[in-house]
Amino acid sequence: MKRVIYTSFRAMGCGITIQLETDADASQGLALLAELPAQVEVLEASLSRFRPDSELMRFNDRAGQWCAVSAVLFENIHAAKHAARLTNGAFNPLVLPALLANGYARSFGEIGQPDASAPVPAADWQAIELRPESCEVRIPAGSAIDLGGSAKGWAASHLADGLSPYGACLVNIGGDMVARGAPEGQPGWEAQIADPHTGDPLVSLWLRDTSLVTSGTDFRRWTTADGTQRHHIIDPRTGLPARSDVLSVSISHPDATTAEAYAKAVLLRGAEAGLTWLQAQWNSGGLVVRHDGAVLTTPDFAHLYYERNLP
Amino acid sequence: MANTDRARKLLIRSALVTTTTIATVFGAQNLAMLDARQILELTQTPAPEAITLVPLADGTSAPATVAQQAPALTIQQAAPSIIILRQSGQASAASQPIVSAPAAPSAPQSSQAVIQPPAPQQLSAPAPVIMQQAVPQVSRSTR
Repeated sequence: MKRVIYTSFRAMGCGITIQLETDADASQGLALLAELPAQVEVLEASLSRFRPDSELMRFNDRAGQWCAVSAVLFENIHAAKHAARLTNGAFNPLVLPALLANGYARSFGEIGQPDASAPVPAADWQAIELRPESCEVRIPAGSAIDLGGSAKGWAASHLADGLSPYGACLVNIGGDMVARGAPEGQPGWEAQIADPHTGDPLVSLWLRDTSLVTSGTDFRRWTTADGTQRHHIIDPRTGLPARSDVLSVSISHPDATTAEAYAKAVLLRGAEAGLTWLQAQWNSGGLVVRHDGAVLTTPDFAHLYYERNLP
Repeated sequence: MANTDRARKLLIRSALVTTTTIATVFGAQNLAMLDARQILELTQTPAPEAITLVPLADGTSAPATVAQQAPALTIQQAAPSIIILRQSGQASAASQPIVSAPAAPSAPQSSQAVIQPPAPQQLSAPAPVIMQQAVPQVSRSTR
């Protein structure tokens, strides 16, 4: 008789839930899950841009210099650069100066009504230099990395990879999910995509050995002191919040970091052009909810969902 | 008298023909044997005692030979755009036990700075619980 162990807590500025299927003796699984909050805290201490003493922010302070960093930060920057390459720069980790210029200088819960400054286009992602043999990284002087667009997916994969030897698991970090295996007797882990207009479940899917991430402009919005509405999906080319007919986009892909990057790329391209582009990418599927309420998917994505199919 | 001479001539001719035929057959046989011997010498394999048996390497020693040759392969020079993060057999940070802390950076060779992760804060979280079945999760933009 298999059991599912469940834990839920807040970290990385969002809610985290983790489920692990174990044997009848759940003691080992309970101990594993009890360790996870501390593990996530280690990752956040390294990767957060809202902690001045985080490894990432101290690295950003040394932009222009070669810096030896931890394996965790190195792998995240490497994954982010790879994602930028896959999206031809639509996803760009060097977007932090642009976010700050838009007033997103504090965690969203403390953002208030900030001042905004002139837009700052992101630096060229190809200027991120990596030395894998010594875990060294250098970014252009004056630039800075924000991993908010990829670190949750990376962390979800990291945790799921650690848990999967002990049983099937589902890690959900702020709506970005990674599934390894499936619960006994089930085709996968059940996941739902919320309708950003209503908050109600829009479609349900079975996730197994894949990831599902959702990104959108329906949340993390703020008004600057000059009364301008802003959101956190920045167009790296302009340094301004992306203008798009996409309100929310969900992507399924075996790699969660790639899925997060693809979500930004689809949002920037717009619903139809974005999904057309996505369809040409390897093993990817997507669902878009437009501002006008229309819902579009790629053919590869449509076969994943069931029951609550759209009317 | 004439019949006797004719018979004698016939006998002599027959003897000559018979002798010539036998000589021709005998000579042809000898030539054939000489050819056969030359062909045999050309295609002949060494005698069994001339073969040196070389024992085949067992399963464990064969890979060792390959490994000794491997360092001569310079992959990065052949394809400079490929970054090899880890060689096979080396642990990935993503595959480390989930309870482990991030690996410390290796000694820098030419960097100007070494940045260490800060000490993590204490995080209080409720204890995990056992569920009857999996709980459906909702994917939405981060909140």
